[in-house]
Amino acid sequence: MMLMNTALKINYRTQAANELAESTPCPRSVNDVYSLGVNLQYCIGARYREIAELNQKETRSDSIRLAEKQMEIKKRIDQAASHHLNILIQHFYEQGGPVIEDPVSEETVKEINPFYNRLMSNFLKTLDEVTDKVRRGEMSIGEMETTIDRELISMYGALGNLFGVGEMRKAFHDLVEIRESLA
Amino acid sequence: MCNCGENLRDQRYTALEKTLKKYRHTTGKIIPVLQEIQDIFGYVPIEAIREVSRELKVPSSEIYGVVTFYGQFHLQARGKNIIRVCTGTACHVQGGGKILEAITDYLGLKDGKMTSDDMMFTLEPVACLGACGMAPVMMVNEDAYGRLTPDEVPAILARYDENRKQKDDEKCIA
Repeated sequence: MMLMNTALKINYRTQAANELAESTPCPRSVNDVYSLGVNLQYCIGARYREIAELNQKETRSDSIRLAEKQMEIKKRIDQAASHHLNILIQHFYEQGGPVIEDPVSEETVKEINPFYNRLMSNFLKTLDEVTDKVRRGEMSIGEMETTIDRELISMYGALGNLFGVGEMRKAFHDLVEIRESLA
Repeated sequence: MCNCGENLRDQRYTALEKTLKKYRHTTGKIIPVLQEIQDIFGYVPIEAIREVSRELKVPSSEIYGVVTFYGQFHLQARGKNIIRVCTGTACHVQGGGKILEAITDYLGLKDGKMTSDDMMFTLEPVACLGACGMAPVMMVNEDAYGRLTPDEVPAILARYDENRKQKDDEKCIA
């Protein structure tokens, strides 16, 4: 059977926050932004799955539902990525096949990288913290959902603001919109 | 047993002889014969084409025509791992060219060479892998990798690179 992996080979298993931060480089194109969104959905889904595996009566059904919701959001991000790809292909043919460069240069990425890493690691730290709190029974699954959603949307907004390029900002805005539409 | 490869060579040619004996004078069985030969050698050697021609009474040119027509046959030895890189439009516009570059750099392929010197990898650019939504895409054997960036290529290939793993292990021991 053929396995379809993302480049990072992320699946529905839990992945250490540091590993995810390291394996998700600062985006240079709209495609990279959607990729980041997809990877984070796997990561968040895995956290809900972890909670579900604790087999606690109060949290099990809700956490399974929330894990499935992450995959639904991931599907929407995939659709947005395909839509963007189609626009790119159309542009490619209409312009007679130009070389399409990434909208963000390597120099810009170097400048942005420290801020990007900080925002990502803060979010992943929060993700770890809330998961631990729910495990210990100090937080409800509903509160976990609200906190993750709030932090993720805030991170997408902040990441979008790091980029001067309109299409990159728009891609982060799309990630926020998709998440909010399925809230 | 020596490890010079001579015995292995003999075994392969013995297997070739058996195959040819099985299909002797059956002119309409070129493809199954070639498939078996490719199973034995990993590719279709020129000497094998001559042998097939002699045993099946079919001109070499005709056999050569069949080998070069079908994508499944190869005239040169291929690496242990096959890397297929999509060069279709969707992958191209998403940076497929840079992925190809990253692979050739990693494998040290130059001047149109497609197989690495250590025979661990063969690179095959293909027209489409049918995963345009995950562009740019490459496959290593049966594993598909989508939404690739050039930075990720060395780490992915290293997983399949036994020689490199061995060297790393030796370094660790040292």
